[in-house]
Amino acid sequence: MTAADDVARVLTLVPWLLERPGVSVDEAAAAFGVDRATIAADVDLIGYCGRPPLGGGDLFEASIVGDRIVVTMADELRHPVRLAPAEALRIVLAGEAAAAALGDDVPDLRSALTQLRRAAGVPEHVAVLFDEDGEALIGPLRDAIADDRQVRLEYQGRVDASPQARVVDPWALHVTDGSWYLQGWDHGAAGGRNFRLDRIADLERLDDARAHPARPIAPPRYEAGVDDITVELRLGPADRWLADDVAVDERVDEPGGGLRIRFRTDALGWVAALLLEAGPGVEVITPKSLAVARRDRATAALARYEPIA
Amino acid sequence: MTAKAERLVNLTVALMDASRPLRFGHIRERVPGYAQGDAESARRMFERDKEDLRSIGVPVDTVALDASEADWGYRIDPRRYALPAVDLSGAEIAALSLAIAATGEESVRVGVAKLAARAPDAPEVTTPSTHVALGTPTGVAAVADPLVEHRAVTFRYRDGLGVETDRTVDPYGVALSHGAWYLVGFDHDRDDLRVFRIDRVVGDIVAVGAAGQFDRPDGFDIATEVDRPLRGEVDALLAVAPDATWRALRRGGVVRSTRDDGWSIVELSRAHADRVVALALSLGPDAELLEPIELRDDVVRRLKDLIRPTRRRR
Repeated sequence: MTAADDVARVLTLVPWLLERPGVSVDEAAAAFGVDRATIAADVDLIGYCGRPPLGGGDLFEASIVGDRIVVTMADELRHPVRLAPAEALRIVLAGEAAAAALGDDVPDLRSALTQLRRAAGVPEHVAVLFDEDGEALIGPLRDAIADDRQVRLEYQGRVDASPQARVVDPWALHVTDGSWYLQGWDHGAAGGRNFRLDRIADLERLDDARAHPARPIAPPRYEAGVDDITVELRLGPADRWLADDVAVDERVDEPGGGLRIRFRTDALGWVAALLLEAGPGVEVITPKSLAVARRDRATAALARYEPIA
Repeated sequence: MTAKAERLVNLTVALMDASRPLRFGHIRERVPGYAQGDAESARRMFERDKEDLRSIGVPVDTVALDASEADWGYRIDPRRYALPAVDLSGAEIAALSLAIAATGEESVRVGVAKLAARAPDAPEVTTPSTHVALGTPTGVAAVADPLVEHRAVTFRYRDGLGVETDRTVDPYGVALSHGAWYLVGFDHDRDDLRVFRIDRVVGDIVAVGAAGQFDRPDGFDIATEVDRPLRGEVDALLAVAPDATWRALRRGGVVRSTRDDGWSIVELSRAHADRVVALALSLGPDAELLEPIELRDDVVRRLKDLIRPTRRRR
């Protein structure tokens, strides 16, 4: 944390404390998202500040007595600093994202954001949009979480040939990179797992209560494993979007607007399906088996349209 | 660190408490921390402190004290310093705290505390069971001031085809859509509304020109602009294998009937043509696009292109 961060917090802490005489150190720490020691240091610092020339009656009075904080004589700082545009915008964006993720049941958040926009001049034109894929599952999963019930998923893992049954204690929904995930305890794997909603083929609510209490787990992120296959592709200018859909290890721009990318995967079949969506402008450099898988899959798909006589 | 924070708080109070702009010499006498060392290094320290205060939103004004502009004074106008009255209820403050908990955006904690300072105490917030990650788009902070002040911005942009051009844009709004950040605005070089992916901006976004240069057009809706590539007017029918039907449903399809061979007839309504073709292609041998016929032909043509023996480029 820089000195400027400390000053921003202290200039906000003073008016907050002036309105709350005798507030506890813990309450202040919670409101500012810092530890008790930071609040104690801030209160100490406030006691060294005041009006020039900082003589006898010029200093602010600040002390912690038996875990209660008292600040007086700091009338110059009774107002918080106005919100900088970037600061107000960030609050509005966090609020909009939370409102979109939590559903419509947040009228207090909506009204708070409306007032904030008006006070800070943040334009109305801020939007947060998520994938609609898997949207139909959000309501039933929210209910299962709220009612403390297990669910059974038919889940399509990246490496599985078809969806497999999983019994899960649902903990939370998570939006990462615009996509929805369910986080919960996977009874089969005996651990916390992330499940992409658009890979849930079927969802059934069970009567059993959750056996494992919710705990935070890392948001979904692809971790390369030791058995992963390295893939290298040369993308034409029209296929550059593909680089956004995989966790790229290396990307090199090529003359003419193309792109060469290298990434690792544990699911070559999944990459082959992705390559069908892209055009023939994608050249598979390595592995050769991927080029074969793409051609085989395209041939099988074409047979649906033009049955071989 | 503490010495610096203390000096900055005292500087803030001194500049706000003064009835007239203060010369640096005067500040040096009145605010502890500037008296040590030679005048020149104290002066440089003051210049840095002034910028630090501005970076956290404290409006430090520089005022010419004579016509020759050789004599400068500094002050903070208490009215411009203070947060305007925002009358939030305890429940509204709690809702903003909930937004921090749901997004993990600890960076806005002090901003919310500013709003909470003079509001009633908020009820305690329970941890929400839905989380959303905002990511850290540096470009979004850079457009915040121009967005609020209605100033144009310039930047170098690499488009979806990898072509770089310089753009001058009136920023109308920002959006987080499907994991990427977008700036929407009027593009002076294209003379039209454009949507820019902020992670494709090369280098810095710089404000140009005076404030209040443009008005957003009536009826402008950022969600519509950003979502435009995903929406369309196509009603499509696909036959989908039983095992793969759920995939089409997760992409917004609805089962209309079941064929004798067990395949589902799935309808996608008001979809974008590219989305329909992408879905049919990604399902591969598990789907057949039935209608519209032009898109069916498109799928066939693309599959044939993929099967044709590869010619070595180079």
